[in-house]
Amino acid sequence: MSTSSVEIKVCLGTSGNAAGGEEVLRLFRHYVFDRAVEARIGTRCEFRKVGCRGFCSKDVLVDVIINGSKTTYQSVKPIMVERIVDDHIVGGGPIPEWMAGDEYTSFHSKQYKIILGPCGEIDPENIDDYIRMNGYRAARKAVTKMTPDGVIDVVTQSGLRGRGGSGFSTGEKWRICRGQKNDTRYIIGNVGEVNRALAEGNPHAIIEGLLIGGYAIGAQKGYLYIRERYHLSVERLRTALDQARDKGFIGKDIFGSGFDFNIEFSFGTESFICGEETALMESIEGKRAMPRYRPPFPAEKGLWGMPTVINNAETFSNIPLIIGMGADWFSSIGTAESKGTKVFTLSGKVKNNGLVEIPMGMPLREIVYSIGGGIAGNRKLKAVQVGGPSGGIIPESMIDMGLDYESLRKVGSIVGSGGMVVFDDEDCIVSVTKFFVEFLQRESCGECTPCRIGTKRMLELLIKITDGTGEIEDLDTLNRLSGIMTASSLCGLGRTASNPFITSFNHFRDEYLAHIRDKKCPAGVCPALVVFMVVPEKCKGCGLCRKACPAGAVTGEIKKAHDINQELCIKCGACYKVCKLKAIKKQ
Amino acid sequence: MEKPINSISLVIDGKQISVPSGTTILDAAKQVGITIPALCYHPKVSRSGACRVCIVEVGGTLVTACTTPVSGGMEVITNSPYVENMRRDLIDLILSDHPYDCMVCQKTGECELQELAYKYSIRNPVFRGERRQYAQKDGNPFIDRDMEKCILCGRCVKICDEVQGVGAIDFAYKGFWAKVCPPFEQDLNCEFCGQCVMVCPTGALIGKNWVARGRYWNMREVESTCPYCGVGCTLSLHVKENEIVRVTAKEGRGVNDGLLCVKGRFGYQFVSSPDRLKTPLIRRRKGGDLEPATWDEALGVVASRLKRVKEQYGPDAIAGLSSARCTTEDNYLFQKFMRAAVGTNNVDHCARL
Amino acid sequence: MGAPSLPGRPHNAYSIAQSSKPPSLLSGGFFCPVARRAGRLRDRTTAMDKVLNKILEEHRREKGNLILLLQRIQETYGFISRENVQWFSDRLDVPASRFFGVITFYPKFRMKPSGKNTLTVCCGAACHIKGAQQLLYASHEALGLAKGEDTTEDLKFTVEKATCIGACNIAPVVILNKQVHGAMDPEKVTKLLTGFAKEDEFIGY
Repeated sequence: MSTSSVEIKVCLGTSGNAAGGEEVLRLFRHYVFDRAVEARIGTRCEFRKVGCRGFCSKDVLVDVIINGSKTTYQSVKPIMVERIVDDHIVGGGPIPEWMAGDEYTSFHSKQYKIILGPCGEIDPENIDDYIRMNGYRAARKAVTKMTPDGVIDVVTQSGLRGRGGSGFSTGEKWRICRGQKNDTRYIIGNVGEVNRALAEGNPHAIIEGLLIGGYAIGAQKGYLYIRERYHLSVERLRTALDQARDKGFIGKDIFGSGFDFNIEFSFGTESFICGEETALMESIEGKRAMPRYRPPFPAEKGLWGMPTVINNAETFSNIPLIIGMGADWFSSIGTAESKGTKVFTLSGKVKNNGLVEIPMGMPLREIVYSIGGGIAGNRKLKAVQVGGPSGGIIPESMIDMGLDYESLRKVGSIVGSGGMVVFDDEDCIVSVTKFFVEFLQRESCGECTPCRIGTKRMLELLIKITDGTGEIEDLDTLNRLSGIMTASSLCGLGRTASNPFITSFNHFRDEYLAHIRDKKCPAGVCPALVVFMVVPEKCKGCGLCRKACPAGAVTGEIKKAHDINQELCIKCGACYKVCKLKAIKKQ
Repeated sequence: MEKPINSISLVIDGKQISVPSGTTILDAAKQVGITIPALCYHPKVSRSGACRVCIVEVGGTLVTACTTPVSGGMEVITNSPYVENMRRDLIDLILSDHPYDCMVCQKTGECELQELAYKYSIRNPVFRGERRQYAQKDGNPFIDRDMEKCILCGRCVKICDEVQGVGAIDFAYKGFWAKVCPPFEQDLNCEFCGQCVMVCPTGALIGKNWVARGRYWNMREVESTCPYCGVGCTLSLHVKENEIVRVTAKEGRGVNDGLLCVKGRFGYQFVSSPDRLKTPLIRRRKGGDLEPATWDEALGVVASRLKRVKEQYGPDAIAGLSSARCTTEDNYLFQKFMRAAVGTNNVDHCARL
Repeated sequence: MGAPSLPGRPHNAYSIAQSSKPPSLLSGGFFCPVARRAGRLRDRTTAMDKVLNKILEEHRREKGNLILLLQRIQETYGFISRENVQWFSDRLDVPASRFFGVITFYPKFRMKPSGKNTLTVCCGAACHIKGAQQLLYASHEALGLAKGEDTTEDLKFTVEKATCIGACNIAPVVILNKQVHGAMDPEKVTKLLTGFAKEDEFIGY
């Protein structure tokens, strides 16, 4: 950057937007113009919309860069903008109390942001920003200087594995597809849940990766499969695609090499099953997203019956880096088997929720405590669920394990979509498992028997257990069901659908037994198994709980101990939450 | 379609076999006399691998025999305890969402699901839970669609689409509540060829006329030719107490190879109708009733009248129209008769319209 | 236009079904698909036809993808009606059953009119453990929706559930029309909806 300049970067990812980022940016523009700031400080002010940098719990994040020195403000509200402009930009004095603190630093310092890095730095709606950061240089190198097989070799050597599900070697997949006889081939970039921030923050990297992939396998056409609901991602990708087309990076005779490649959008609808490769292809073809049997694999016979490569947007984002920086550089990151980095959405009961990118193999503990800042409300960590709904639940005792494909598989989990939900001791594992199974049951396409009926039976048994009518034999039945589903389901959804149960049962057997044998929910979550009671010695009769109760179950005179009518109680826990004297206990 | 080029040798349950490449495990096993049970597989339609009952063990993992092509040196085990237990549990799962009403079900005795339940002796199912229940019944005239008994194998959907080319039904909804139904769950309104009824492995699709008319094992099967049109489909008449109670067609027999149309499959009631003509009728007096007559008498009347018309007005005063229900040989004879015996070219056929 | 109104259907399966006698198989028209199809294609050009013809044109250009077609119908009418499906089924020679299969597979397709504004409550894992269910209750309460209903009687609001919308880091999340609102609680949702309903006319984001 030039030495004498002022740059204001406003985080405008989905959560930045949700926190009022647009308004903040508008106000910055307004005040700078209104107060004639540029004239007063004698330099131009540049405004930049940037994508999500992951630290979403403290949005809106604003960077003010004056002459190269960066100050980051967190939780910026529209009302704060005026003072930042006056005091900092004009006055030259940063405002310490609004600056991002240690949490922000520690959140970022442990991360290794190779693909999320540019998000939060560049304007995703401006292709020149991306080109300035060596954008499309890798594509140019691949298309003009390398053979398709050469590209595949580099990708294979780098050890990159699919970031979406099973972790199949990306290079190998491409090679199989390239080896097919058909002339028509397709390449599909699946923009899933976790990739949303990538699409919003650095859409060109996905497009460039897709372009390189298309060149490598010899595809003429690429698809970006994205859910329509992700409005912002769609908009940014569309803008990026138009810009790339204008620059001649997409279209006919790319980089004068004679290679033609076009990218089209395919809008998916809300369906978890569409994350499965073959179901996704059915969906692009406009049909019900029912997975196809394998073999033949998509790389042999995929979209419209043609060889097709499907990779996740995160996988594609890695491609320009691998081509640009070399396979050796990439494979120096991560573990022996799992190379590179992985993006996770850290959510649940940690202090810092957000999008994190870590080198493969980083211990779970570090993610939760260093990056996530520990458990919110100083409660105790209970478990972490990794890999989205069909991932496994990893207990606190195993938190030192490294996160990579092999270790996760060993504990019965998957890398999956990269979801990471942290539970504390107030979460009931049985209930959580029930939630995941409920989700999977709802999303099951209904094609094959084990998944269609199996998930339903599994859910029914879990409901039975959380309702307090479970029997010990039910656990056997659940285990038997898990066995059938894992071994005999048609697609990945069915095969992994029992992961939440298997892992939670292995690690939290006592909790299941407490529900069944003692009819108690240790975490006090399952409504049928919990009783809210007033401790008369502690109750001062303030009446807060009476007012909070939506069912009118709490009665009592002011300044006298209250009572809860168990017949009316709907176990919502509202009284428990409002009581300041801890005079309500749950059992 | 790929051509079978080279043959591949593999081992199924210890039996060595060579088959053309592209053959599925299921077909290969059939060649060595091993029957792998399958509910969604049907030779007439594309495969889907949906029911998972045909799972076999290959190198320790389970694959579906109906969809997996053989590969060289493959070792397939179709009946290990692991496979058999898994199959048992799968059938058990299917039954947990199936009405236990085999004693009144029309399909009893010829139901593929019942056979498997019998084979695996599933008396006390391990899995229990909610069953799909549908209050609405299909009001179409021919096919009883009891979707509670449907196991979503998809054979009916595919034969309707791929063989009959109609697409009257398709999968709708998803997950546990997935259902095969006509658009917007209206009553079925199609050609009613009944191909779907033929392929249904359970009692979900049954001819409405068949219900309570007799059990499969009390019927005698008589092979016949369909009288409705010149195609001459081979029928299999199911006869009970000298009455036709059902018509089916057998795969591999005749030109139709198991397929029928609505008339052949469901229009058999005329055979035992009291209104059916059994002798020729002649109006002996002007203004009188039609009275039964012998064939000799009737043909005599026809011959003498034709002769009289020909003598009086010439042969071109006579025209002949024959029927598509007659065989080709009959039709040939008829035009020969018109041309040679009557002496006119006025002969036509209803199929020409 | 001035074309004579044809009878609704050239045949009627239901009347046959109701008669006690076995159906007559020889009454020609019943099994004649040509006659049936011709009956359905009533050639009167209505306002609906004009709109649908336009969609059909675009659809043909895109090589026939049912999902896109249905999306477009839904964008135009807010929901997908039987008539529309039949209209396209006749012209594209795609069985209506396939349309129905696709409509019922994807939760986003609606067969009933939807409200002018849509509140989407994310029910993904992260939102769930942070109380998405309560948000659903609150929104139903605020709009006076009974259990099982999703659209208000005055067609102002539709409440729908979504599987993960990918904003787990600001869970729990609701989307009102296209605006994402993060870190919600029941009170905020109620405020959002009641405040919104007060505005006379919503112009759209």
